[in-house]
Amino acid sequence: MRRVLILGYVDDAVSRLGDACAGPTDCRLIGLSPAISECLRERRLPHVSVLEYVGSTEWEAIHEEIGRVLQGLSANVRDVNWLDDWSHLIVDEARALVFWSQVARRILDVEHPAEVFIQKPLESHSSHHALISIASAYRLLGQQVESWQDHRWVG
Amino acid sequence: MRIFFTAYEQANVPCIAPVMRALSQRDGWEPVFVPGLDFKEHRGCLAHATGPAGVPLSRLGDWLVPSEVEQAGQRGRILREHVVRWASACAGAATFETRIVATSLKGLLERSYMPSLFEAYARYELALEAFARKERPKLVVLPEDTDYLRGRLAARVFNGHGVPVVCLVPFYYNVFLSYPLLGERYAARYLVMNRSYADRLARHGVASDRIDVVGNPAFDTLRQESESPQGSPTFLYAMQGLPWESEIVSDLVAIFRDLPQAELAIKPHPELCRPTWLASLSTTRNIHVLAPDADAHILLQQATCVIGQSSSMLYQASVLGRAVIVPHYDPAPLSVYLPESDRSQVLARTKADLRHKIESILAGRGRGLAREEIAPFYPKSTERVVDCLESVRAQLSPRRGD
Repeated sequence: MRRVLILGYVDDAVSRLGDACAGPTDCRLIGLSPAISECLRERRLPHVSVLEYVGSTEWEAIHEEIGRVLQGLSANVRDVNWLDDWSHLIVDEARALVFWSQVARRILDVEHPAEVFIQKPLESHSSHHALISIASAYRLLGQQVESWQDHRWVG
Repeated sequence: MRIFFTAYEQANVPCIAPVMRALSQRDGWEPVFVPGLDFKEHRGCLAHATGPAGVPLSRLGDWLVPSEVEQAGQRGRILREHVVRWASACAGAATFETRIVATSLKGLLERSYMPSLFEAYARYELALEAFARKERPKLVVLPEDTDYLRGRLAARVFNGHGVPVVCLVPFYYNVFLSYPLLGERYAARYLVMNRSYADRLARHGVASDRIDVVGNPAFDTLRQESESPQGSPTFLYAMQGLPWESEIVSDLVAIFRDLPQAELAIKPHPELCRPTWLASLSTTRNIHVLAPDADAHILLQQATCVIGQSSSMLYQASVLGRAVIVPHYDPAPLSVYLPESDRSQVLARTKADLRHKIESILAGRGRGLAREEIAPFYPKSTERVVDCLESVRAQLSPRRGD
């Protein structure tokens, strides 16, 4: 698999992918939620659900990972009480990004893509934060990504 | 004995109010309400909860003199400067996980309200110190000992002064699996709503003799009308301003257009701003948007089913024997605790799944969450909590006793 296209919502541009995806393709479409996967299925677009790349199915594991990171960082903070008191808020803030970064990394581990395309986030759609978080995780991993709209075909 | 109760937001007062009222009618107890500090992120401001009528009040701010207020503000400003520098340094860390957490932390600290929040944190800490030192409370009841500007700070300060703390854990902290339980657990005793939260505490090292399952006193007042709802079956959607809400509502509207024999009532959250997309919702005769302040108790009595992502109304409806549906379109783990045995029955992950669940309920096959799991001791949770507090008092050393 050479290319991966991560989709957060279904619009006309995605619907137009249908014909191009009908035959053999070197592009893997990934639907970012079960709800999006259902829309892609209705449009007969071959795709993989993001659930295939989800590692943690409970928040507890993610909290523990963030807790370990904070513990590692605590040596350098002057006010350890502050870090302990605010750990709830920091976890609350970080957990979605940590979740999506794990998904982002797993997509790379499984697909080994040469190119990663991420659908342009749409502020009015709930996938907005997930698409931004995945792009942000790839930036921190040093993986180049391209924003996808209907102006580029990746088939 | 004076026993101090605190709540950080109004939604948590119904959990402690019946307990305070019950204790005030018993010999030897003198409950006092201490309004805790809450930060309303959606409004960007600090707020206080209001205690139940007739219960004496003690304000933490009264324990500080003006010079101490100024001193605390200065401390908060210095702390913030240090923390911002520290977070920037962390962002260049070696591991991917650390960079991810540091990126979130930096984003958090850059928010416009952070300077005032750091000052409030420092002031609140100083006020708690003064309260513990001068009032020398014998027993304090907090909602939790986890949350940053709330119970975590209070529990740490009280622990430092040897003040015994009981956590009477309200609805949200019991059921939200997305709320973390990091660090040391300070409370001497945890009075929790269900077995699931008790198990969670045990996994985090709290000994079983520090945990009592008590149910939720806020549910004690729920009374089921003798008659079932009349007229068209009504499905109540409780809005909460969470992700996927516009998609869920849009799917519900599409589903109920095909179900003219049923009604969909959409209830906006009472505190949050109405989302703009709600105004452009194309409704039909059987779909209504209610007033945000519509009486939740009446709505629950009239509903056949409550639909919500994590609303307390899901649990209240279940206690009343109503059906519930929990749409969870997100691939992230569930935010709220749903008993394992109920999940396949109530969870809807897609529009087709949601439609199927609604049609099942219309066919008489709906169900709520198992009452024995979510509301043990209903409707006698208040009595159970009072009994537990009596046993805590009996265990306090004579030096601390009254």
